Amino acid sequence: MAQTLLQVEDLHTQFYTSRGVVRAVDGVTLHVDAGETVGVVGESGCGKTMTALSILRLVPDPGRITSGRILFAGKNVTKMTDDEIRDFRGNDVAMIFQDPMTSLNPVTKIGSQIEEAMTAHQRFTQTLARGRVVELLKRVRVPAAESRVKDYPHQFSGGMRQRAMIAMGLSNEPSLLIADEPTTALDVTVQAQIIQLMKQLNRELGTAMMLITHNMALVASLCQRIIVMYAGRIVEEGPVDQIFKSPQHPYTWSLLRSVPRVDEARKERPVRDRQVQGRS
Amino acid sequence: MAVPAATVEQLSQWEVPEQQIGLWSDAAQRFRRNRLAIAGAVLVVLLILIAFGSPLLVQLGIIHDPLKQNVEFIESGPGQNGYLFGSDELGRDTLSRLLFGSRISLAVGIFVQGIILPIGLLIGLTAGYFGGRVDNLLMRFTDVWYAFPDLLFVLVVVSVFGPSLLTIFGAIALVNWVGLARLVRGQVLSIKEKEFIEAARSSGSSPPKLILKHLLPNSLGPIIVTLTFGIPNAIFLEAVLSFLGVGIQPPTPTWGQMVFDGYEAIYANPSSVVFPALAIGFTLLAFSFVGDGLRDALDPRMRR
Repeated sequence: MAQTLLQVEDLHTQFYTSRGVVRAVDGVTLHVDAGETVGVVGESGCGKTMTALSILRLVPDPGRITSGRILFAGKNVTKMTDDEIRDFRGNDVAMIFQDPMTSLNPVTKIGSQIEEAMTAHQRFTQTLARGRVVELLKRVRVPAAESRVKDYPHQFSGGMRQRAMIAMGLSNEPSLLIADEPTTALDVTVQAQIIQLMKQLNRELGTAMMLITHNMALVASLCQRIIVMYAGRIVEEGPVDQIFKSPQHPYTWSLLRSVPRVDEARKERPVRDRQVQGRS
Repeated sequence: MAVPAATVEQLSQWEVPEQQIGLWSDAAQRFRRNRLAIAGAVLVVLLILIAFGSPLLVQLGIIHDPLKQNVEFIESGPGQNGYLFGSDELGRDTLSRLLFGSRISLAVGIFVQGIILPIGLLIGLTAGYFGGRVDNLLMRFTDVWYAFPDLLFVLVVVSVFGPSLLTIFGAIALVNWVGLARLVRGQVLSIKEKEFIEAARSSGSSPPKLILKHLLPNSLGPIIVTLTFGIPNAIFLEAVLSFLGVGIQPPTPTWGQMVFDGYEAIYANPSSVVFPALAIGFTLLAFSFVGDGLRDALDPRMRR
């Protein structure tokens, strides 16, 4: 068994609003091994993103991690000081966001944005940093990387921007990359390219990945293990084959059912959740 | 799915290297297409040239010394006695006083913005970035400040510290920073929620870097526009002060002072009021046009 990289124990993240407490993450326990790709699936608002943001301690106001422990390579993330957490972000765990259109600063050149992520953790000379940026862009297959570093985000297409985001995430060679719906905002052909790329990077660099998505096909093609979340809790967890072949929890079952399939004739009306009750 | 490597290579060749259009050159292009803005800019440049060049013109003997009184030719009309724009009640050349007056007006307009900028940025960025209690405290302070009548405040400051150039700059800046501080705060509040800020934070950027590299550059457009509109505002306030007699003290020529001096004899010698008034009017208009043009040019929603 591979070494455990990230260990989240009984994590609770809550939002204190004027209309009461919202338990976005409600007792999540999970782990990610070194070099492993884990998929976190579930419907919108089930706490996937909040779990990820909690790991980086970036929960937006008025949210708060109320209890639980987050251990990364033996370090306790929940107890880190501001300086330590800043060093931890990007360096140990990097994150890629859903919408590459809004995740890049529109008034800064692509190159200097990636450079910024790098120099946040290491000191580089100007030329050395530039060289590394070009190298990173080449690694994520941005064509004509040498001239593209001087472009602004609006000159990049959606797929290119997501590549640039991935390059930014990889710039400090983190041991874990959290990708929050990295392909949702992209069209299908570009999705395929990005998935391919992430697969290759995982093989080449051995970076562990935590993939947050509701795209079942994406999970099936990219992940070794799946975590199914519902209402802030983990309802099922296991290897990809097992989850797809014999889902144990009714929610997982209906989640899989909800994916429309082209190769399956619609002989019967889709089964509604209500009828699922009692199967577990 | 297997695509031959050669085809992939070709595909990347297809990317037409589009012309590098940066943010600023794009804005400059749009500014240039705006005729009024260009007219305003030309006037502003002319004003700056006049402000710097007027002492030289006196030395070369092209215009009269603005301070030299010629008691034989008081209150001459335009064109009389060799005074193109006439002379005032002390026999001083209106034209050269007009040209020299631009120095004070421009200095007030620009230096006041120079004082406003750091104050507005500091308060706006701090309030916007830190939010919560800090924001509340700073904004209530700003509100209280804003509630004070502008002119009254300036009059009090000037009468306490004496009407020197420095106190007038300071006093005008002190009543005008509120707008900028509020604008910067608003900008920061909205930009702070953007995803790229979260992305930058998730890659470990420190707060100073977030502020200087992300928040500030993204709000630069509105800041520039506000400062440009602030220039005519400050010029006007200085003219009002001079008119009330608490501005820059005579004999230094300022436009507001000239209007005040001339207005007692407005029927006998209208030229000594009309010309400085026109100068004030055109200057304000020129800066407003430039400001309008900049606002349209720098507005990201106008980008095509």
